[in-house]
Amino acid sequence: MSKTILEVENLTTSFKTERGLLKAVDGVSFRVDAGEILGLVGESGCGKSVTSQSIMRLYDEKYLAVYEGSVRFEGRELFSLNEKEMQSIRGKDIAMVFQDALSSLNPVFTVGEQIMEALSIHQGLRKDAAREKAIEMLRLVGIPSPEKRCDAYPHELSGGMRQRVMIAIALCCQPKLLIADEPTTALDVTIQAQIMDLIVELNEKLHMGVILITHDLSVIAETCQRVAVMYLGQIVEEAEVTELFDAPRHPYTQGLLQSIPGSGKTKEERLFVIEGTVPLLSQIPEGCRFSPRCPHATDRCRRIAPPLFAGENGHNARCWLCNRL
Amino acid sequence: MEEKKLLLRADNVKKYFPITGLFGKVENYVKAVDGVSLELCKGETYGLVGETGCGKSTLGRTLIHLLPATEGSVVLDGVELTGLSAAESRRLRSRVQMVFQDPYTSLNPRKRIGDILTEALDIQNIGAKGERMDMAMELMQQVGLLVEHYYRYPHELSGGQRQRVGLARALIVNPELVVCDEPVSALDVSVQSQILNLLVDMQKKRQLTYLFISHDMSVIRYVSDRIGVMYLGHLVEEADTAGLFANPLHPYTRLLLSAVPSHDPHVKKQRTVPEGDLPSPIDPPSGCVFHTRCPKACDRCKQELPEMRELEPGHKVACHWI
Repeated sequence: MSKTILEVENLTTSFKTERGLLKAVDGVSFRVDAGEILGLVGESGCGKSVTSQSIMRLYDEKYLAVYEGSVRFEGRELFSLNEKEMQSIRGKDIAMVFQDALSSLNPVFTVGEQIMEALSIHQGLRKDAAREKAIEMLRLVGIPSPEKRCDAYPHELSGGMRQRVMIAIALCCQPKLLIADEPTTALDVTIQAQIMDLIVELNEKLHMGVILITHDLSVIAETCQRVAVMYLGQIVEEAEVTELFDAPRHPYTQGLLQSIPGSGKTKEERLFVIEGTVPLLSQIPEGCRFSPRCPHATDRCRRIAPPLFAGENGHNARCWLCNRL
Repeated sequence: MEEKKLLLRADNVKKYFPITGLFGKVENYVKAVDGVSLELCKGETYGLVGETGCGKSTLGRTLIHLLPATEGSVVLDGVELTGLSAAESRRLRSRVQMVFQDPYTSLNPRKRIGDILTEALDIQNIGAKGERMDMAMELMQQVGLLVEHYYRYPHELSGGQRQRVGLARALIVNPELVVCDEPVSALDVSVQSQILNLLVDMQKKRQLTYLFISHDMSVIRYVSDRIGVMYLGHLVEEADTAGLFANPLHPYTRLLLSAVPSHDPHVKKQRTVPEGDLPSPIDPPSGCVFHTRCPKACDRCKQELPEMRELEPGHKVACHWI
């Protein structure tokens, strides 16, 4: 049994808006073990990115966001750390890869300097040593002629290369947890395959935990061991990846899986459709949040919100009917 | 299979974009589309697939004369489209239309949905003035919008609803050919299936011909009757959908298909991922454009551009090895 490195319990992130507090993430709990890839999947606005950024406490706590619940990293409660202690964890023990590498990299510094920055802050390396390490990292993530690319600016690299640089920056201090937020969404399938292979390979080699956030179920199917499905700020289902794809228990997960134009389907067969649209955070429905779009919703669903029911093998679902569907 | 009627024939279409240096001097060209020939039959969906920068969008726009072709000819139903005057190409718009990728930027934010739709009728002078509103409302219902949306602005709608408006705007002039440029790429999975169903429904109802451009293999496979695979401005393989997925011939098609992640967690794919990145279309490789990344490349591939050859009925491929 691997040891647990991250435990998120009842995490709630609310944003201060003119119309009062908006709960973007509402009572999310999960854990990540060392060497494990956890998938976090959901449509836009479901709170998957907010969850990951809350773990890193990236939102301004004075003016913007209110965190509740607990995030324990190797037993340390992150929400009780001060900003300086938090900084020593960010980028060192927990690192993050963002979706859009072009806007996440600083355009006025070379990629080498950006990797060296992390190394000099967290490991106190001098310039020569940091540069050597930076080149080594670029080689590790598969960038050809790293000595030359080290002095390139982000705009001189292709999208796939930039994403590799992001991964190099994230991994240079050997983090114990990597949060990859839609790392391949902006990339082509062939580049996506290269990047995902790289993440899986490094995950095995360095034995770090990975949270992979994506809206693409096929990426999840291919890389993750466990998956959590989010809808409107809550986890609605959680399971081993094969179990989730073989026997989804929540109607939302079932709908998502059925609505993909899967292999062999032609346009003679209609695609499954989840009726309606995702409601706004300010108009969260009463009872079960999915009930207005759910084909099986009953009166109880519309009145009382279901808890996350625990099932066998850690297969949990937030649905009153999950044992019958 | 019944004989399909030819709607559009493109022959050796090229589209070069000039790169200008100091004082507007043309220094070089981006060869976005470099000699593509294809045929579209009435009522079919032709899927065009390829990676970013392979020229699939440029080809789509060139085929319907949104961009003038640099070379080659495009014939729609007996009418040569290259070299049409501005007035003639405006009239052409009632026969060919386009649905764009991003529903957020392709609708005018200052116009109400109703005005966006009736504007097309005004320009094409379709229907009497008093009828145009009714025509727009009827079509809105067909594409799943509510009548009240007629007076709404684009920002008041969700992404899926906006894409419905984008489709309605294309369909209101009753075109024969619609170029769909990544119409579902910006949408979430659950909305994507709604729009795909709608596209298929409208095609059946109106006998539309689609040129469907996408980088998403599962979407292309679902909607298309035939598929063309593009790489760096060239069409490298063309086949009917079942044939392409069952028996991909071109090495690039094989790499592309093997890179697509599977929806089944039990299947652990053996991938062959192409090395390196797409070469630049400014200075494309000599000979076969794919030789720099091709596992089979030989000397001949470096020098000689392979011709498109028909190996089986309807299955064409451009490769020296096959």
